[in-house]
Amino acid sequence: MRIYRVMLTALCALLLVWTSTVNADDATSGEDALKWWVDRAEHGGPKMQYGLGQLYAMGNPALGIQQDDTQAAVWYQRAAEQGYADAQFALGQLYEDGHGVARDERTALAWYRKASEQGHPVAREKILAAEAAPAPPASAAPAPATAEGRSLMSVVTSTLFLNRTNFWDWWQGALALAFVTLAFWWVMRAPLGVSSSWDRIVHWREEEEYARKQRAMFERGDELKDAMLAETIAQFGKEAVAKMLAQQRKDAAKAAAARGADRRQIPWQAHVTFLAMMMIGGLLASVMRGEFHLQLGLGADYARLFGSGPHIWVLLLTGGFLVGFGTRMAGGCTSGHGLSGCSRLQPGSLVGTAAFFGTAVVTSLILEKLI
Amino acid sequence: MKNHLRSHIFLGLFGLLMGMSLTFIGFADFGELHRMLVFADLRLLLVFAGGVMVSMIGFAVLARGQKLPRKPLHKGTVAGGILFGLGWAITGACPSVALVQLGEGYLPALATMCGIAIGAWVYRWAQTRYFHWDTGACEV
Repeated sequence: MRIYRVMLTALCALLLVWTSTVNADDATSGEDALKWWVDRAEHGGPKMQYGLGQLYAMGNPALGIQQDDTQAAVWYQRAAEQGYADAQFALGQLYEDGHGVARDERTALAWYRKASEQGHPVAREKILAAEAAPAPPASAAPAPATAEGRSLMSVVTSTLFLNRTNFWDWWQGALALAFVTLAFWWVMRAPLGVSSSWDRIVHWREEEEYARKQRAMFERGDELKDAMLAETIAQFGKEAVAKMLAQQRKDAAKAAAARGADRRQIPWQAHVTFLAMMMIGGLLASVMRGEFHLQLGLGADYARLFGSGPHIWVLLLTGGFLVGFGTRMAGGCTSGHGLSGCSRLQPGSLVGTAAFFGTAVVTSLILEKLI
Repeated sequence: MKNHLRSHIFLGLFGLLMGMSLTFIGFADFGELHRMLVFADLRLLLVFAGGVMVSMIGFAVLARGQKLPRKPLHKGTVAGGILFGLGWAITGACPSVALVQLGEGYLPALATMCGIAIGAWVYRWAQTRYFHWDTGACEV
């Protein structure tokens, strides 16, 4: 039974790795990513064209796309002509502001009207505003509410349908995380949780002590058992005892299967293997993505928020301490609480995840405001 | 001993799988994580929520009628979560991601790893000495 599980898990893992290489080929460098996007937009529907238009409108250095309103207008136009409301609205805005196209309020209003007819709320506001004040040009006041409405809308729609990074699509990632969570439990008979691996490794001395005591207990237990067995054989004869022992073994196996394996049976050294292979997985995957570089920072965004230099090592050490202490105190981390706990609706996990996620959001927003 | 070799192989494979998945998802990329936390890009949020949803269905099917370890609410849950959230936002790392970051070539993740090890050690010391909470770790 167990061998089927392992084989099935390995098969799924292979499939997962295979999909990842497909994706890595698609978008290894910025230029390739752009090509891939243009290809998708050419052959895909208006959603993809609108997405590429957005990439041009905002510019995306990671994908090697320069901000370019003319290109944005071209792609918005293609999507808008196929009746895609968000693109119609975005194109209207370009016409209203004269970005990438000649400024033309009439055309802007025409596109707003089309979007509004499909229920685009911000476009409807634009139309209402234009109808209320026909004489003064509506473009005189680029209402801030409108800009906000657009960015919120575009954030929601574009993240639901589009992937602006060269990482996996959200659904691929979701399947991968769920696969790891479920397969881990299925094969190991213990819920996935990485912070407890750390806990057991840093307490390796106590682990050794525990294992030693357990061994001693078993040995003493065996002595007792042998004595009792000899006594029973003397009383009932060999055959009866053999039958009884066979029955006992069967019962014990059944009980063990029902209870699942004791987590303690996994030696702490195997947790070292677990964490070490996680690191090697990161290495392997980043080489496959063609993005492996040794660096003394944590990337451009980290440098923007915290600067660069030796002080970030101190900051990371402190932050790491909070992570180690906090996850053990809360009884789990992103994997133990967030994935395997939340999906089993464990009260501690739901509250714990809300607490760490909420705090991280608030902290990040404050950091963003301060800088 | 044969049993132990098996633990090494299985846990090693799962570690590899997890490290690779986290890299391909972009969970170990500080910028990506930060954009999720300030809601500038919801992709990772959907990854996570989707992962939980699919796992929920999976557990309902695979683990029907089985007893799994519980994760009870105790006095340290919220406080610990807050400390972890703070650390997560400034390091971009949860306990698995710190290792994946190092694997990806981000050397300062070594500092995060040291911090995590020290933090986990200090917590158990404080728990046995002062807190004595029931964290559900004593059951199988």
